[in-house]
Amino acid sequence: MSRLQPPGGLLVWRDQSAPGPDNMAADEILAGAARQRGDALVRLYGWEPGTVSLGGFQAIADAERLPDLAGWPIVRRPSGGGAIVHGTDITYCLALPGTHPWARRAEDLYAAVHSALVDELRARGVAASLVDAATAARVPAADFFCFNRRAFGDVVIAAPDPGLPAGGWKVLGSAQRRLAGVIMQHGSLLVRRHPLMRGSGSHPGLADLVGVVGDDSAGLVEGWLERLAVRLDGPLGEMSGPSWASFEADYQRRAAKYAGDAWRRRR
Amino acid sequence: MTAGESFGEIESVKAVSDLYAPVSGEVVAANTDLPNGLETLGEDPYGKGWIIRIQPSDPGQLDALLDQAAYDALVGSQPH
Repeated sequence: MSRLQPPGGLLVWRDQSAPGPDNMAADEILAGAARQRGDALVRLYGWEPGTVSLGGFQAIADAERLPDLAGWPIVRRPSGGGAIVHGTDITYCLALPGTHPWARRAEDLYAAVHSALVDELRARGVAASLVDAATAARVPAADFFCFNRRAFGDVVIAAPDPGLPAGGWKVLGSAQRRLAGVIMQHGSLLVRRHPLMRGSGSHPGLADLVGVVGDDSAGLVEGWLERLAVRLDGPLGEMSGPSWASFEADYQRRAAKYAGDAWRRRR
Repeated sequence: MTAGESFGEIESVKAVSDLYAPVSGEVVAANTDLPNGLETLGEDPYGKGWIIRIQPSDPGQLDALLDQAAYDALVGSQPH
């Protein structure tokens, strides 16, 4: 990896879509790089094939008893929170050195990332907001799916729909894994409803809710990250992925852990 | 168990964190009721919310730990 920007700001690694274990392995390598370099790094990626990711503390039995998830690949994240249906979302992994001011309290990092998206959506005329504490307290926190939960600070969009759930339609939720010397924050920006998912795991995304704005997900993400970089007191820079020749063995070892039952079925 | 090493994980506000051993020694008991009532951790962390009991291999390590008052003072001194 080469440093293209001085400390401050945000370096983004625009990665390709990959299977769940590969994505989790890449995020661990990203976290290691953030800890080593002292930089704020973010990786953007998709999932191929479509995959259900479980929060680190969720029971795999709860996934296996849902008929709508039959046949879906399942991966367990290191981060917390609820299950996410991936394939029509943009996933991010933000890695911050543990010494960064935003790393001290989990809520500070959620707020920083989520409010930057709310500002970008509002600049595009979308009625986006953060879930407030009262709404979060009204919605059961134990729902299996992340996008059925309403945690304090989640990003929601109000829409004139009689079926509007409490607090609006959730389009971004995040969760963290706090490690020695580095914080890894995962988040999923839901772009559109997954065509193959039915039942309680089916949720509308930006393109379904706000049409043209949602369809320009690439532009939206660019504006979101630029706002985030400004809050990190620096520019938005690009980083290439790790040099796979030097990381290959480490990457393969980590991916094998996420693919194996010892990790997948640990709860 | 070795001081400073992770002996478990906990999730709070969707954030998974390690639990670190405060001293080295042997684990002689675990609060197996805790996973069924995690709110106890917040309500009575120094009583019913205990996690594990360790028989220290070097009791001198206890001198390096903070008691509740010292920990509260440390947290209170840091910016929010």
